[in-house]
Amino acid sequence: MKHNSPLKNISLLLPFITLFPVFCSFTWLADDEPMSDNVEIIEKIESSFEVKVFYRKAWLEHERLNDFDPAMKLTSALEEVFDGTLLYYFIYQEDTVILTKGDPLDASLVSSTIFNEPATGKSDTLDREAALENIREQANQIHQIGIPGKAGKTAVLSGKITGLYSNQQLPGTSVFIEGENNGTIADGDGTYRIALTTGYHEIRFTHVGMKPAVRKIQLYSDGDLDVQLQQEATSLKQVFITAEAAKKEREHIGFEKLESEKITELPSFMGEADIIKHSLLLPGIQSTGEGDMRFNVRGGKNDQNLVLLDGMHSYSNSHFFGFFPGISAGLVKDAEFYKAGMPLQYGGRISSVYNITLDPGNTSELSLHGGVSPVSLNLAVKGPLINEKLSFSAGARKTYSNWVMDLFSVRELTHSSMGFHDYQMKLSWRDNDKLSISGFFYQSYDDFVLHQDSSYTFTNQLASLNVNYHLSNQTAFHATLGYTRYNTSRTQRPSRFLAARFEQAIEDYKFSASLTHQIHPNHEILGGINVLRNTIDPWSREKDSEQSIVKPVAPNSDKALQGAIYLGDHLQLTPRFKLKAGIRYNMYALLGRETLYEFRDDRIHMDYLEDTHTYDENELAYFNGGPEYRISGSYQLVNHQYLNFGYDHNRQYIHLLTNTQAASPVDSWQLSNENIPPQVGDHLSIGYKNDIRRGRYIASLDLYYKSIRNIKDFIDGSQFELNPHPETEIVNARSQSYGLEMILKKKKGRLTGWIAYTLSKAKIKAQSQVAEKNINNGAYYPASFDKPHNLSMVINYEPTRRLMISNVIRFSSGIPMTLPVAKASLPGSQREVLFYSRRNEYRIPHYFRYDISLTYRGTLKKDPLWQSEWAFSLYNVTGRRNPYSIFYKKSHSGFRGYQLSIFGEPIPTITYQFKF
Amino acid sequence: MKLKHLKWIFLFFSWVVTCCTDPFDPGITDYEKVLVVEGLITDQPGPYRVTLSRTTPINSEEAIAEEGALVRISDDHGNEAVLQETSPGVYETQKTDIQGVSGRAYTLHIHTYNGQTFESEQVVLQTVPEIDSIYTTYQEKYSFDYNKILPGIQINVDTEAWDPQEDYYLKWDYEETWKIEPLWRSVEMEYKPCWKKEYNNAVLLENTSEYTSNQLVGYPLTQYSNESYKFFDGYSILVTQYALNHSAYQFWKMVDESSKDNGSIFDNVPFNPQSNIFNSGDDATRVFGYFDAAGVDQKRVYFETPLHGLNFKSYYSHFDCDLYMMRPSLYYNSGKVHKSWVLWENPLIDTLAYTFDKECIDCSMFTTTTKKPSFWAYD
Repeated sequence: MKHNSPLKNISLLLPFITLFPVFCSFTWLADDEPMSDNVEIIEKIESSFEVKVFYRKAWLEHERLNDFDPAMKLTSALEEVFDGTLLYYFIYQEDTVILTKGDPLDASLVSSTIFNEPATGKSDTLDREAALENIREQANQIHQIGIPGKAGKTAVLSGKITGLYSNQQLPGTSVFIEGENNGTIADGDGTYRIALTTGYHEIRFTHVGMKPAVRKIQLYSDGDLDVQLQQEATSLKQVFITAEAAKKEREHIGFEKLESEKITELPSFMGEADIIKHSLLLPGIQSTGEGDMRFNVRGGKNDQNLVLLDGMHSYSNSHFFGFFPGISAGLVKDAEFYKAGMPLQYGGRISSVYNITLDPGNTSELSLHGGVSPVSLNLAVKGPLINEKLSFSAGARKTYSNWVMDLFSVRELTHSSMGFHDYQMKLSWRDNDKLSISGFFYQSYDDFVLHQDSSYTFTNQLASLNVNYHLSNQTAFHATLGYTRYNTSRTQRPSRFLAARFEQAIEDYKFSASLTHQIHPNHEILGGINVLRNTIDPWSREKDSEQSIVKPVAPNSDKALQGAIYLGDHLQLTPRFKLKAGIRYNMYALLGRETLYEFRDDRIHMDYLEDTHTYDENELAYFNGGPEYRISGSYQLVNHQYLNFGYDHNRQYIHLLTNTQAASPVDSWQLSNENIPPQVGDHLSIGYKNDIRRGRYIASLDLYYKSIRNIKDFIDGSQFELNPHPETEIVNARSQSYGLEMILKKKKGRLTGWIAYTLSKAKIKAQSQVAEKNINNGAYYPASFDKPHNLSMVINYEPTRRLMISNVIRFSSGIPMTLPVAKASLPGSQREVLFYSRRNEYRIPHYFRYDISLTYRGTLKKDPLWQSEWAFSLYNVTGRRNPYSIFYKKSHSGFRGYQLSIFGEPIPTITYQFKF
Repeated sequence: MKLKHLKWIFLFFSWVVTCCTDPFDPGITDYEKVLVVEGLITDQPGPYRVTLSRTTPINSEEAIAEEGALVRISDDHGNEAVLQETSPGVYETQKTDIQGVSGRAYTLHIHTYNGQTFESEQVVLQTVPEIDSIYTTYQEKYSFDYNKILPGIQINVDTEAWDPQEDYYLKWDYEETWKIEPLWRSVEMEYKPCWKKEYNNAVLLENTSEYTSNQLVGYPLTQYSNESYKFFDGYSILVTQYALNHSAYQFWKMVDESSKDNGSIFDNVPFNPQSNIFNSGDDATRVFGYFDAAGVDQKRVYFETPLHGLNFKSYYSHFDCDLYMMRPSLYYNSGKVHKSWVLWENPLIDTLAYTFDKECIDCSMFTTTTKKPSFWAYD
């Protein structure tokens, strides 16, 4: 075997090696090393192609390299050898092969540093060498910061962290003072600020994918230190939870960050990954069942969640009655979910904030993404419009189920059709580091026609404009302008004389602005305003044929103006204790035209009608307001253990009136008035978090208690549609919920996932002066989504980088149900009628489901022309027939009970995703 | 709010996934024995009937009659009638006791054997608009069983126009009677036609204030495809149109909503219809049922084939009624004698005709009566 001297090319490699210091420790295998099969293969490469291969021996230990045919081209041979392993190759100057493990070399970086050099470009190389020399110097020298002799025990160090050469901002870089248990995280544009005692410090800057850097400083007074980080040769595999989010997760009560890429790897129904549905796997967030389009957080009702898409709230987040997600997970960047410790900027809903950020697109590269599932086809384009300044992402999705329906010819569904589509567009503009603006538009449409005589349509529109402006290093401004419209309609044509069309629309405009100012690195204040204008066109009815004798009903629009001002404080009281406290004062005004009813003795029933008041256009019909308190904090017990707590006092002026087990898209939205007072919630929670082994595992335990006044419950036989006074059919009830939530997450390694268990109780008490409004005699009864036990497990295993196996297991108590307990006979009408138990007196059997998915990535190269991914998922592996609902049917032998299961058998799905 | 057609959404899932329905028994054994009341006074001549019973377990066949109660109906003119228990739990007025009159308000009083007293809300009798006509129209309808659009009929009712100032809570009940003639005459038994009777399953209710017109035209009662076997030998429908009080209308509306439950989480949380009868003592004792005073109009019509040129099926399309012929001598010596029925025997041609199923010669095997109903005007 012929070997060149290992030093022969080292001078050429010098810039490379210094740039990627990891390689400095590569082992050059000498002849006398014991040879494994893998080593033999590498030697075969070297001899066959007369190249040298640089790698680390340890990398080969758990890999099996494939043999190759020496007649192949070098690239093909390498492709063959490393297929199915975690190793990547990189060919340098035709005679050197560099291996990396985990991730390929960043081609853009490599090309800009090495390949774009002209053959004679020695001077350029020298420049780069000089830059590197400079960096090395910076690492060794002691930086003198501030003015020596200036008084002060503490001083503020600030600066900007960027990538070397690329000047790419590095938000989320962690800044850690060695040996002092003090540190911070760089903000969104890579700037950091930290208060330190004056004197000598060693500061470590770390960022995912970058080589950590240490700076020695002698601090005299406030001053700047900008830092450039070098890209690490093996840019780590995409890390889903950034350092910043991980920190927030540790130190913020009831906070979760969800990454869309993580979500898409989990098994999904019909291949439609749903970020909101998957968050039901986290403790404290539940739903009534498979088709529930909404969710319940810690015992709160399903109208109490503020779901924001790029800063604007949305009234519907699903398609097809809750079975499919409203927005493709692939176009979501991430989602922040607060079930406690709600940020001060958000209000108006009691139980949670679900803040979804859409993918802004890539600022340097154009890409086309697509996916095919059994239900829909989706396409997305992302890329720059103006390099490094303006980027966009646009996507569209459409079902082709009608076509499939025809193909399968389901007899029950002939002359029926189901379809939905949605599209969205986001433009993001970033000027220097101070200003960023993004605009977002989304529209979705659902259509369901049944046998041509009835149909449903749902339209959801959303638009938002977000502006971020850094006035200075200490002061940041943020503003959102938003619009949303949600329109639902249905038609029914029992005969041409009775054909009718029903419609409801809700339209909101929102403006919010906030200012954050750092008075001191340990003290930040936050203030802002929110203005929201709601317009609800309650259900109306019109004729749907010329001969129709249906009486048109067109109620007045309900209009309201909501405003809030807030002021809060983020304090680092001691190095271990952080506190956020704030107050929001919100105001609500219901504006004319309105007709409001006045009742006697708090008896909201038409029998007790005292007076009717009418209000002119824009006349104030009802006013309410009150403070909301938001307090949360974190105390670091020991190293990585935190005690977090939160208290929220919230008010809500818009309500979803529903009398079904789960919310449906045809439910009515209702604004507060004198008889429909705002819901007011108090939520107290305390939690313990342990960040085990530097974030490899996170264990957390939370306790909460939540009490809500004026939650809207419904009376038996309530009818909200076309009802001019729905208050007579609802009860302003009380709810109480409490629970214990536990979760253990493993966040790093080939095996990741979590196990979560929740023990909780949610109950409602509907009591009134009016007899029929005393549900279950005015006693507490379980809420329809109450599931005392809830266990979920997510186990993701990645045997190789090409393959991902994901397992999801759910177990929960059955939801409460109202069941028939007896029957009554009405002989005069030749009928038998079921007699029901008290509301939610019984429970359906428990729920168990096991889903599995396999994701196979077509190629692992960083920038191949065509990147594809196959996902195979098996829903409900055990085929358990979980009762979705219970119903009774009458046959000749009398009534019989049946349980309906939606996913009664294992459901396999194959999805194909590509990136171009 | 209820999504009316959710069943079809689940059918969608039965296509994409395997959606299943399995028997479910929650094993409920203890329940409240609630008093069930049904009472109606009309503007037609009596007797009027009030039935009292108790709720029974869902699977039980037996009924629990509420016997020995004192039941009275009073009106706002000081008239009162005590009802007689004519059979267990069935209480009736005497012909001369009381007569429902439009505009009067009636109250039901119940004093049970075990000492509980119940009283109904006052219900005012309102004359109902008359039925103008009942007729069929040609109607194509998709059939799930045959997986195609089938021709068929719709049975409609038109009301007379009413005073535009008035509004009604209308309810319809119908009783269908159709004749079935045995497919074959047999020498072995008397040839007797039969009649079968059925009542409407659906709750047919309308609140006329929902409509712009002061007359309902083409109100659909029911629909049949030409696969129906009700029209082959003659069909009659008796339609009763009621003008209900609001409370009785609410009761039936709630019965309808709860009984339409098709097993979706978008269905209304089920509930017991609110009764207009209350315990005089405490509010907590629940009562199931209603008492109403209603204006009533009835009309009977006959429909005979061919209707709109449609060929309706015979009931016998369900049976194997093939006719076989044999030499009598052979037949009587074969084992068929005990398994089949002789239709006729003709010595001239030395042939005997027989068929296997008794239903083919005797329709009483699957119907209720061979007695011609008194209203049946045709042969």
